[in-house]
Amino acid sequence: MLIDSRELTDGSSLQADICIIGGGAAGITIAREFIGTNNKVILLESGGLEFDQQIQSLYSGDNTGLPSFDIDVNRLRYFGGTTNHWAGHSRPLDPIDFEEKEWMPHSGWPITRADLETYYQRAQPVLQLGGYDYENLAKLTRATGLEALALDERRLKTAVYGQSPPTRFGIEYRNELARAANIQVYLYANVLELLPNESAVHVDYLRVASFKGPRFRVAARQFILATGGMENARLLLLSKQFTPEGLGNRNDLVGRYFMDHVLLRPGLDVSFTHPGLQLGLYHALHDVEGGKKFAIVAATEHLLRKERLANFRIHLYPTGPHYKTPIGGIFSDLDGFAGENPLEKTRNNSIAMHMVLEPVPNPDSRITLSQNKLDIFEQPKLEVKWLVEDADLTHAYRAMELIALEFGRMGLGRGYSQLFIDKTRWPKHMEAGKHHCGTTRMSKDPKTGVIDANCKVFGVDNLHIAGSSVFPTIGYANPTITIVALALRLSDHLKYTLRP
Amino acid sequence: MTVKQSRRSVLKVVISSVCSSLLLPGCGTGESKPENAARQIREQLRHHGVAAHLGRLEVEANPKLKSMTPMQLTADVLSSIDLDINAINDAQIDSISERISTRIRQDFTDEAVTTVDGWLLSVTEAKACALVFLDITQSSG
Ligand SMILES: Cc1cc2nc3c(=O)[nH]c(=O)nc-3n(C[C@H](O)[C@H](O)[C@H](O)COP(=O)(O)OP(=O)(O)OC[C@H]3O[C@@H](n4cnc5c(N)ncnc54)[C@H](O)[C@@H]3O)c2cc1C
Repeated sequence: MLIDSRELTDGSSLQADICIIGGGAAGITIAREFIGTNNKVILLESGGLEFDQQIQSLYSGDNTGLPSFDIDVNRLRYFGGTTNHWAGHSRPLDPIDFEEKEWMPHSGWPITRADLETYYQRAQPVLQLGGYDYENLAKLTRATGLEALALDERRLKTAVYGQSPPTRFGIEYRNELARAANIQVYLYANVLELLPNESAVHVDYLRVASFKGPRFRVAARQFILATGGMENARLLLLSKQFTPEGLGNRNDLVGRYFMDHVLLRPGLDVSFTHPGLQLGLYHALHDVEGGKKFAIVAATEHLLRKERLANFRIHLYPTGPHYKTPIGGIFSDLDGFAGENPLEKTRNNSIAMHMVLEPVPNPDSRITLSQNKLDIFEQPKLEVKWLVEDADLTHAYRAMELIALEFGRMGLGRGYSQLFIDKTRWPKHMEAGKHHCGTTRMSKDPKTGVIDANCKVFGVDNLHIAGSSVFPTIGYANPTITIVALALRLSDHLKYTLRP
Repeated sequence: MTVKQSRRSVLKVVISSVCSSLLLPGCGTGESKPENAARQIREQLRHHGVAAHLGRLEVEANPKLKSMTPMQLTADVLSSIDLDINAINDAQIDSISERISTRIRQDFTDEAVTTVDGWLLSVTEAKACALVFLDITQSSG
């Protein structure tokens, strides 16, 4: 059932078994899992079914860290959340991404890739991705008749990436939720605060408000915070009753370790030594087993361990060239190209490499509450300080160098990068991936994390968190398939917890 | 890895040997074997203007190269492909192209590379560019 909260009576009290805060990828996935169960579910969504500038303004805030970070346009605050404009790129995290790596401070999940495997498989249809086959490159090359690059397999690999249509959760799953008798979706329901009991070990109810509308409260046996990678932390920090430092924040970790993928688009241009090199496997979308797929170049586990690097991936796009002269053409004879004419600088004779780099978790990169700016509900706005480390720049440089080395070794072209001109600073076009992670990190120990392996907030017995805020490290893969996999896992856990 | 000889370079070798056997003027006549080898190295590169530009930057960034004559640099490149400038023969001169190709691939494998103007180049190809530059500047008086 879909309900407009603006029509509720002021001061109403609602009651549910499970209350989900936020109707994006995570919240909607969990709500769907409970359709037809004996549990009464309330999903509270801040926005309506369409974009509304006033509600969206609740996402505004300041960025005091690295530039190129627009907090309010990177997220969408209405039913379906940020999936209303996500791009749909999907791939599970690699097994190594879950490990505690001694070369990467603050790394290590309390779960493994194997723990998530069945949930990744279940996430596949949720995101309309077709067959679950990320490790079978041969299937992709057979289906397309296109060749993969002959990369040095100790260092780099061609990996399969999934392309969701992209699924707009608010549109795709709206009717299903509207029809479900045991699910109530409240639109225009802004959660302002979580109110725990006096010892702050149990959430009693939520304070909720509609803009220029009623204020009401929602009590439940279990609460799930699913308001996105930044807002999850903000809501905990706003929940100060009996916990002035914020709910679940005894160890001052909520909001810290804010991470996003570091993007360089391009990180490198390759000027071909052979004309019209065919790389369609990488830059075109291919229909395979009911889903769309394409290929990327990524680091191998062997390389990451040997060189103590952060994980990275490269997209190959024919969008260049971004250099002045076609250097590759100089070496065509030496690379075995028997053409009459030297290669010219054209789009066909080059390829742009877009780099997506895993950042090193950094406790000083964080989100906090603004000291002086309030939103339309008179609550402190968000302040983001996105920082990256020197190590990230070193990792980016090495990633680009490895790609350039590989194209030279294969005799296919030469690599150009801004980083090869100045390795001490990020190129101006360095940007964030719009994947907000880390602010309520998962850990086995409350001293190093906000939630445990079951996504339950340490020290609070009925509060769980869903979304990329729980990722302690983020690999190179886009986050949403992992968000959905974790949401499915959390749903199973809650079904077990709530069994009669 | 064997590298296919390009049609262009095969043609160059043929023309050059025809010219020398006919002793045609301006066609390699009187060219010593080291000079022939140096020319072979330079002729592996296309876009000589761009190669010379890269070569200049490489020479400017590398004090060792700055103090070299074209012949010294030729000797250096030849020695990296196991050829001795003082004892080089015709068959070896003909093999320069393939040897340099192989050397360059190996440079990329060994990470014997340098960055020039934002490009990651093998040290051998950067030296070949430097040779184009030195040849232009030092022969132009
Ligand atoms: C331009 C862009 C492109 C992207 N492309 C990709 C991609 O290719 N692949 C990929 O994996 N990811 C991509 N992402 C990221 C992806 O959109 C997010 O990972 C995903 O939407 C997160 O899901 P979520 O449910 O955690 O949060 P959201 O989808 O943001 O949903 C949060 C929901 O909570 C609601 N809410 C917030 N605060 C409150 C409150 N106080 N009370 C009630 N409700 C509240 C919001 O209105 C929203 O509906 C992209 C993001 C952007 C911006």
